[in-house]
Amino acid sequence: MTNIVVLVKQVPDTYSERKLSDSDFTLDRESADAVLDEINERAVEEALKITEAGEGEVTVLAVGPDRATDAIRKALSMGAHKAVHVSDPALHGSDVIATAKVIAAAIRRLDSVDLIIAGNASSDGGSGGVPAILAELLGMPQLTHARSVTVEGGTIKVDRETADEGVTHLEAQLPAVVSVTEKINEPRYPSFKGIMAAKKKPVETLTVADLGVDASEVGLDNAWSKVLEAAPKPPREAGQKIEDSGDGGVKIAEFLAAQKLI
Amino acid sequence: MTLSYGSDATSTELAAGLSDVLSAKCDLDHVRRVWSEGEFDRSLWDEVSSLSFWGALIPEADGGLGVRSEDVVRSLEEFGYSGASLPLTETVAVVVPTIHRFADDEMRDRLLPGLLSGASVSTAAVMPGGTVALFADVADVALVAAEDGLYVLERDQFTVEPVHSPDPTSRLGRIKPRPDAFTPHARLGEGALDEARLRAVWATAAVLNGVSRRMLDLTVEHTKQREQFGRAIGTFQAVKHLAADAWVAVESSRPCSWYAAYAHQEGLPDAAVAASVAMASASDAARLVGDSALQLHGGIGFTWEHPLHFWLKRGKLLEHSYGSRQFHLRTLGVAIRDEQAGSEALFADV
Repeated sequence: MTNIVVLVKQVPDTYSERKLSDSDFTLDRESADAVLDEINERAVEEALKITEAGEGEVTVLAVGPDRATDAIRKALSMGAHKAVHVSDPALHGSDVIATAKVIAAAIRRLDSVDLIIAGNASSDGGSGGVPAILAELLGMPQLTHARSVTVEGGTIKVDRETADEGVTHLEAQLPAVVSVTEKINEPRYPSFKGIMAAKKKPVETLTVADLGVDASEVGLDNAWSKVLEAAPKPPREAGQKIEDSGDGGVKIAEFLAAQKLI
Repeated sequence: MTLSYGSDATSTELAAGLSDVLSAKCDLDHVRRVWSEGEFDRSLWDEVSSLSFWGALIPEADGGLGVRSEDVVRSLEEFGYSGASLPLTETVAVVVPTIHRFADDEMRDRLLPGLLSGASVSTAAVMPGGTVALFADVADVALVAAEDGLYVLERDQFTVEPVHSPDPTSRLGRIKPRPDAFTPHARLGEGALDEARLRAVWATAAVLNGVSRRMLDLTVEHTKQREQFGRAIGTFQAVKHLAADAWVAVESSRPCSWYAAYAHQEGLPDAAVAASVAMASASDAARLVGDSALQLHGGIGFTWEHPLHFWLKRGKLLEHSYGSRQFHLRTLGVAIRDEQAGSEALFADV
């Protein structure tokens, strides 16, 4: 019996143009198509695999505005059993620490959580800090950047892979916090049965006050970091074009030599 | 009446679900490969079968999803849009619900599990005037219209004679029943033929609208990129007008099939008229969009290398698969005449 909480986030689709709002430089969520972050689909997939191999329940937990219900429903249609949605205008602009505090409070309300699975980093904020901070707040071991996860009884084993450090093998006692990378699996497509079933699955909606979190701990005004200014990325400059009139190879070699590449 | 097509509506969610899979598993390269290789696209069939889609229109208690007809219409559009070559329309909209409703318990128990899982492929030859069906040679189960009703034939009860089609991936064939195939046991209950025809018509209209939408999107994409006289051809008024007319035709046609599905689901008296309106308007739109698309692409639209022809040819086939535009206009004419005479006509012999 493994009860798993999967952290999911609704993010702007990476295919659409993403920008910050002009007023407070937080993410402009209205300007782009919103989707369930792809790495979260993999986190849900991993949770489903673990519960399908044994027993247990998968709870999806999302912190975000009302429209995040679409992302939650996607996770439920993949097969997750129920969801908790923390939605509160006071959360607007919260940093990773405040977000992790809210998530920790929401998880403490749940009965017997054995495992928490998150993506290693969201595709919008991209700080990758929430899993580690959450583990600290909950007093659980953290096994981050997992490319494979095995649960045996009360033990979890993870192959952790990062670009800098290569692969390390981690082992911990449950309950624990795991974050997964894009190598972990290929997420399933929701079946039509799953899509229809998701409509009937329970989604509990909570505010910050419901969680007993003080409003002075969250939101943009209480964030530890703040964006003071933002400007659009300058357009890429056109590259150098070389007309090949028989000496193209020489010119490429000269270019590479000038860059000290050869 | 209310038809809901918001983001949380069942129709939208199912269509998005199917579109996700088809856009990933049936991209342009895949479509081209299926057209080139000439084999039935079994891998995509299995992929879609794994979505538990085939039983969408039959009750949950019988292994389906219990979804309403109008809630699969937009999925059918996505299917047409995708370019996938599958007997999807026939299976989900015609064969499974018709067998579920009209077959006896023995036949239902024997055939439905395979149809729902995708282990059996099926098709339907239900329109008047012949037994030509799409995907005939790969069908394990076929609904075949005869003079006295609708029959369910299984693989060993018919042979298939290939029929030329503008779209070879649709595997058009004439179903030739064996002499002893039309047994009383194989005959579906009273009303099955009308029901199957109605279903095939509104469902195919929806698919055809998806085909038209794809041709329009390909065209808009092309006219934004293709430059002539130093600017994108899409900026020329003559091009814009053709594209706008095409858009109006498609968008006016789509609600006709939505309504036809709804009218059928509700058993409204105008269900047959609505189905013929849907098919006639979808055919008109497909013809207008297809012709404009071909012209606006210039010479490249005429080549095998450009993808436009996959949808153009599919459209031409679907325009004639479940009653041509003329057939449905005549049906509407007869319906108007008979309404005045006080009787109802359903795809009467016209």
